[in-house]
Amino acid sequence: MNKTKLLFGILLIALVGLALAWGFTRRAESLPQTPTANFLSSLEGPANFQRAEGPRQWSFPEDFGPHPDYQTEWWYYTGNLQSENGARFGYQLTFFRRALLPESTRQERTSAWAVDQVYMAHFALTDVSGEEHYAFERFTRGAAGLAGALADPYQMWLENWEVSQTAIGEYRMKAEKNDISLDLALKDVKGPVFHGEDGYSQKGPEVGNASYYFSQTRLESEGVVKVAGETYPMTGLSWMDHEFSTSALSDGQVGWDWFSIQLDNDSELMVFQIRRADGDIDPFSSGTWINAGGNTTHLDQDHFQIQVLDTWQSDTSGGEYPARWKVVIPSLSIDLDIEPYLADQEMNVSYAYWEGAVKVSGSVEGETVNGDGYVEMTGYTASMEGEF
Amino acid sequence: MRKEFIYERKITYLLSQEIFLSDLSISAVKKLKLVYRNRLVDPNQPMNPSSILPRALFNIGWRYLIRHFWQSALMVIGISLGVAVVVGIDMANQSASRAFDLSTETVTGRATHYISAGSQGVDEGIYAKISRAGLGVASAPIISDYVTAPQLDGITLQLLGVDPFAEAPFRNYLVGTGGVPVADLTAFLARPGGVLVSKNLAERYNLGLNDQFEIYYAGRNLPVNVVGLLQSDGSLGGRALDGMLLMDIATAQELTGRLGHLDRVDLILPNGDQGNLNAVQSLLPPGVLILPVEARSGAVEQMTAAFRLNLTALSLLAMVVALFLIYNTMTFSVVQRRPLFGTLRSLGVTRREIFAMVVGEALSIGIVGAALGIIIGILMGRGAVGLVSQTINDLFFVSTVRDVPIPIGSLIKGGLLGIIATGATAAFPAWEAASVPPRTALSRANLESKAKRIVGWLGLAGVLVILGGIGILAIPSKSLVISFAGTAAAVIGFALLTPITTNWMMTIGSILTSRIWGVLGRMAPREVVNSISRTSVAVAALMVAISVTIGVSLMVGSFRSTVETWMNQILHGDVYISVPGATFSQQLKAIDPDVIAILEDHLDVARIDLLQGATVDSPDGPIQVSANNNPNDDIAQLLVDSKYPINEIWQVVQDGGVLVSEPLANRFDLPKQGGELSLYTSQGLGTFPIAGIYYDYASSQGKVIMSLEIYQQIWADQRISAAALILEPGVDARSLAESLKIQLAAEQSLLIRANQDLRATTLEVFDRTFAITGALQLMTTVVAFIGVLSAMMSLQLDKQRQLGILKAIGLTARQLWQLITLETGLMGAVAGILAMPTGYILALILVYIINRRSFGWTLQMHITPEPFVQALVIAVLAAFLAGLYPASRIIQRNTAEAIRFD
Repeated sequence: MNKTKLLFGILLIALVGLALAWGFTRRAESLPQTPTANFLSSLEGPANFQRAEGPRQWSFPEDFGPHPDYQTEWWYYTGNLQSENGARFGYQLTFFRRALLPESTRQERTSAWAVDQVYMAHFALTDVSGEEHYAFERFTRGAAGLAGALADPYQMWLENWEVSQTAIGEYRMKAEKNDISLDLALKDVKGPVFHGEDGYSQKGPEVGNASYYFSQTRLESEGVVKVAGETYPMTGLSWMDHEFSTSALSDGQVGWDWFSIQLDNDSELMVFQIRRADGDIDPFSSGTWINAGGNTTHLDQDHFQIQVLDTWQSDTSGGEYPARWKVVIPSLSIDLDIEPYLADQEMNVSYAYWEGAVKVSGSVEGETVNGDGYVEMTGYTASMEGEF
Repeated sequence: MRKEFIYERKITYLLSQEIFLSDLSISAVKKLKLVYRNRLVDPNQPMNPSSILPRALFNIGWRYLIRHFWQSALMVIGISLGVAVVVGIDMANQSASRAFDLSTETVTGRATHYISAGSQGVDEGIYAKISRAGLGVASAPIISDYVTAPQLDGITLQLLGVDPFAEAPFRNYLVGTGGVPVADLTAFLARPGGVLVSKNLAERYNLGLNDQFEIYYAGRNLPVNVVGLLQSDGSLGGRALDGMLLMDIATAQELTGRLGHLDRVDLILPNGDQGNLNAVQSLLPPGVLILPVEARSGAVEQMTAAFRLNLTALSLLAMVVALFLIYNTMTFSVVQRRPLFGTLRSLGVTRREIFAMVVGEALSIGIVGAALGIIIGILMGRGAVGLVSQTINDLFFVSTVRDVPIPIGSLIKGGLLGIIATGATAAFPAWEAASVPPRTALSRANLESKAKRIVGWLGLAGVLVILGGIGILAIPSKSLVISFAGTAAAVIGFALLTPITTNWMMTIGSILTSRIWGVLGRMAPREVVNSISRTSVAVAALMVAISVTIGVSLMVGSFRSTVETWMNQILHGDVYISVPGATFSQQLKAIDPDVIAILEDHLDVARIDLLQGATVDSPDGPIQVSANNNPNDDIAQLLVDSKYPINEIWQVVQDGGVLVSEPLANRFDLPKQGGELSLYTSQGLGTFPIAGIYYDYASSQGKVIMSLEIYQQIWADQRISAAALILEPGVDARSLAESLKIQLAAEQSLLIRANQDLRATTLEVFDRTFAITGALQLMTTVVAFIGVLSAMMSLQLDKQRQLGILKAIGLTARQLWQLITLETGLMGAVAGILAMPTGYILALILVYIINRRSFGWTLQMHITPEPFVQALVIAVLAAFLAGLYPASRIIQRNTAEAIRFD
């Protein structure tokens, strides 16, 4: 064989090899950089936080604001809105607070960014006629003016999502993300309604596995919804839940189904049931009936039955959720059929849950009633135990 | 049939000539015979590409290289050193720029713009304002700085303070692309001093979760706590994490004391999204700007590019010198084999084949040399990376990326350059070989007389090339490439003048040498002239290497003496106080106001001059500002130009004028007199009249001097980063510095240096900067030495017969020694003497054209005899040493054998 050829052959192979090696390193360089972080796990268990251990002395307006010594707190706004020309929207705007440290371990810090409270917010809009559900999530620190809650005047914000008091019992709500926006004036017509035992809502048998819980069950709402460049003037009713606790769910409790219902006879109903891992309904499930005059009736688990009439499976999370219910409260002669306005109102955020606008019909003490509401179902894709 | 018969006879005749046996084996001749007889029969055969270089010819070339092992080895070494230097420097350059890119990329992430308010930082309230405006623009607050870790071998770490909730769109090393694990972030957010370090770093220094170590920042040791480990994914980008100290923005504010401020706010504005850019801008107070991220790295990139180009030019020089060597050796081998080529041609070997054979020989040398060069280059590169990175860290930016993998591109580039250049260089000798007419065994004398004829023409060409070089240098351009092209032309021109100058000098020299060494002294210069075709190439190679040594030494020396003089003028304080940074190039940190107060009250201090060194944004990128409160007494000496009389200049500065340094004026093409400088102030874009341009050698990016009072008014920055103390008469600066160190230790750890110590440190950094230049010069000289050695060996071996005859007619061994070393010594002397004017002109170009034009530095030419003397000594010594081995070989050889050799 010709040696020159051999030599050039070797050279060529060497060059190709080098080029390949070079190309390879180049490619390796351009790979996205996704290192993972190993964190020191949470410093504090729930033990050192304050816990809901019995009925409390409520004091307003302070109690509209945050309770930073409890680990978890939320302000949950949901509502059903209609326009004159028949458009219908459901919305959810929720602010979650989570304390990183109990008061005893907090240290004096000099930076305005130093933080022991983290805020998360969920914003969702259900376009019933457009059959679309939009959901967004945000996190930020409760510092440097980025997120926070104030009692007087009441203000609740995370970046540009906010609810702020405009007068006593009146609020302005604004949220915007991408081309979805919500701008509503809310007016509280019933004042705070306390659940459980004067706002002390037991969730489990252990002392402290409970929350403090009150609602504004009838917030007259008026404003505009913007979706994809379209502006809709809307009116309707909103509901606000304010709840704070430290580790409310007990062992074996995997999730809950929660119903808030506003009927056209000016009354409202809140019921929730806690589901256990074995499929049973936890005896600590409960509810509150608020009549037109604002008087409340506490409901224990044995006062009501929630029958699931249909289910819906999420393509996104794979979770199978109840999709139609019958709620019966024999002692109050209440019989309600509940049906989602849209099947897919699953919130696919950092954890998946279903929260959606529902249509209500049925009877109260023999009288036909109609209404709207919101249903929240958690723990259908993963257990909520130890979560918010 | 008749043709074949003639062919047979020819072969038989040639076989009877001994010459064959020296370079052709019998079997090779037989094979050649076969090939060419077939070719006679079938004229189409040469058209077949596979027979362009028959195996027999290949063997001839190969055997030649093997038989002349040392000659081949020297060529290989020459090429490999040339390639090694190119590879090594390119590796160092690539690594340095890669490290810079990585550091920047890691910190910049996917940000396209950033909000800046110069070195005093952005008010932190701006961030909430933007995020609450709901513009949908991703934004992230950042604090970044450099710290050292005394307990971790004193390494420099990039401190990066971020808001983990804002990070996801920008950088994914903290939160990945998904959501934020809030529980995991607890310690990171809530523990004061909580930091994340890379797992690699933690393993290297045996750090675990919850461990504490200290960082040194702005004169203080601060404890930090490891709350998490960053696991790099092993990619190149991951390496940048190893130099990172990641922490929450609050922790960063607390550690750096930058409460209320952010260094910048990163933004993502895809494709320069003008609408959102304007929307964000409208939220910002005047003087706070949105700048593209390139603005931050651009200036640094530009300056380091010039630095890297300088090194590349120097490294290519080693390659050029190596090519001289190749050229010389190949020419020699061709000359030596002229009879062989004549014979081969008469056997029917074509010109093309001879050409291919010689180029092929060179290429094989080139390939082996390049391969070896790559390996040596990698080793050399490792050293060079350290030197280059150190310099870049000293002068331009801090890089915390340490081990960048070997850039394979550099290896390929260097290797290919070596092979191709070798092949190309061998083309001329190969053409020379191919042009040997068949059957004519021409003697070298023929070639030499030819060479003598062209010596004059070469000289003329040299003059023309020099003029061309001057023409190129006359082009008023800042481009380093143009400057180097002009310089290269000048050097090549001088190299072309070598043969004619050698002739002249030998004529003159023989008068002197004959007086000292008699006959031998007459013979030696004549021998040099008689083999001018080869001696001159060796002399030229040595001359080029030596002249560059002279030129660069003179330039560095001039630079150094200019800097020394300049320091005398600018450093008028007795004791200097500043806060130590992580590295030399780092921005100055603030001195505690308490410290200033103590100094002001100190009894030994007559006057205290304060300076705040800051970075201010301008439409042309960030600019370093030195705001000081003293009327510099020596401004007259420092002034390059001004439209104001000297005694009014300080008044103009106090009225809001600025003094700009020469490199800055050069960078921005500012007019010599008058002119204005635009800077962003807290009230928006401000224009400052230029009071004058001053000499400054501290920063290649350029600097601005302004009045401290004006600066404090305009930028609302009360910090002081340096103080100069003028002491009461009779107070010793060093002992005061020592006592201040002890006195102020409780306040802040400070750099307190007496005037002379500060000078020494500055010169130390200066010398460090040119360390790599020195190393490169040395390498080039080594290559040149090998070139001369190889040339001498070839020459002397070629003259064995002649020397044998001399020996036979009675020359003693000592006389032979004298003759040979005299000859080589003369060549070295010619190279050394010629290198002096060449080196001087090179120095003139470097000092007055390249440094001034491309960097804006006016240097005072400072000529010392040392580089010249050194050059002559090196040249003569190199040539003398190179003659030793060939001389000893010849002397040992049997006289009869030596004569028989021809």
